[in-house]
Amino acid sequence: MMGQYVDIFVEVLPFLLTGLWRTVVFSIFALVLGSVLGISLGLLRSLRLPIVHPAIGLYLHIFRGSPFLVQLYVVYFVLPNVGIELVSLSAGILALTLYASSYITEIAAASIEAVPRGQTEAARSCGMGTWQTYRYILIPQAMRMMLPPLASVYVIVVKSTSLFSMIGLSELMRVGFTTAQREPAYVFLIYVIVAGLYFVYCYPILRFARWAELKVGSHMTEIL
Amino acid sequence: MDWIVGIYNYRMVRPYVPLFLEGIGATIWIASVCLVLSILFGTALALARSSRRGIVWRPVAAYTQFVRSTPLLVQIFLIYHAIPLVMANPRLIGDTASGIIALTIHTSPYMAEIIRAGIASIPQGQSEAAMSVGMSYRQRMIHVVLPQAFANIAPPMLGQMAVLVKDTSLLSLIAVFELVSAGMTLMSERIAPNEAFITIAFSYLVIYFAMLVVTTKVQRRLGGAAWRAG
Repeated sequence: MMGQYVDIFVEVLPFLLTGLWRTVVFSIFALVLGSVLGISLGLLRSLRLPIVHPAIGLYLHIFRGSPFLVQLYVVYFVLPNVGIELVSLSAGILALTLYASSYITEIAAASIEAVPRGQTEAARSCGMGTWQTYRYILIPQAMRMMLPPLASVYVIVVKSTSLFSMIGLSELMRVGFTTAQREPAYVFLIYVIVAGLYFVYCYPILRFARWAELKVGSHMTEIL
Repeated sequence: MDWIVGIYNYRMVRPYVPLFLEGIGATIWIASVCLVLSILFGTALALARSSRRGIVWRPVAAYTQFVRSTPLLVQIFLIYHAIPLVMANPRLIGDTASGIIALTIHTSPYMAEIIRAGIASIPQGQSEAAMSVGMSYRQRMIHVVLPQAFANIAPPMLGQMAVLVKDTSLLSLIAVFELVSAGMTLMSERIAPNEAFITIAFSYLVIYFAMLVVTTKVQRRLGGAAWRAG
């Protein structure tokens, strides 16, 4: 009885691990691109320029107000119809980058604003310009505060890659589906293994986020 | 106006408006049921999590960590396939019910964390005062601590509610009828991806902005400490 399950486990694990590997690659890509976009937008937002500030606010509302599944469908099905050709890989990465950037923008802007006002004032009174204040005073201090919530966003990104299975990218969830079709008697076991693999990947990151948060002493993970 | 028809043919969407409204209704209905269930279950989890006995809080902590580190999609499929294994007659539980169970199981730990923070925000003196007038644990919680805690956590809870509404979209993948499924019907009958997906996205944004207005009103009304708790 038990032996059967062990056999199935040993049989399907290599396939699922190839899926996990792709999940890792996709999530790292989306996180890096999302961080570049999100940090740029966050810095821009913290400047509080007219027009730009509300425009970024609207961008955040749109990406946080609709489900990622719908965003993915819009990028994958609608953009090709308006002249932007995308294969599933670039559609998935693009959608997830935009989604991740909406979280990271908020984190970056909040971190900059969490740096005490006196720091900016001191920098200004030393004769530093806006750019210098950001470069030498605000960004180094904000970076420290950004790290723990960024780790939490990483977990969100990893979990969101599971929806890539819906546009035909063979990441962990998709490999799980196909394996379940091949072994219909062990569907539940296969999903348990899939869940276990996601857990093995995400749990250490969550632990790191909590540890880093205690270390830095910020509570920004809560805004997620 | 012709250029807009090229991208978004609203004439094609018009006959599907009742279907979309039905979808929005189903989404809100499912989200509300899950909200009520997850607040009840979440409160129980929060109380168990604050227990001093390891046998009580450790399983709850493990459950919370599991839910937080696996995708909702996996959880939905796990529940969907677990029901035939544990039920003698799985037909009793339809797709919608199994979706609601999965979403409640997913949302409750998040709710529990919020409620736990709310309970922690109530000064110890409140509980001690209640104890000194002879209230039992149960009475202290029901009459003194929880009412104040819930007033304090309204803002983060409304945020969680917005997440819950978005999460219902995944139930379309196990054949539950809601907003995304309504759009998928339009998609499959007319092969019109632009109309289908833009309408879905727009409907979600309408729900979201409506909730945002309500949230702002509630936050203003509660004011003071409640505002800062968020």
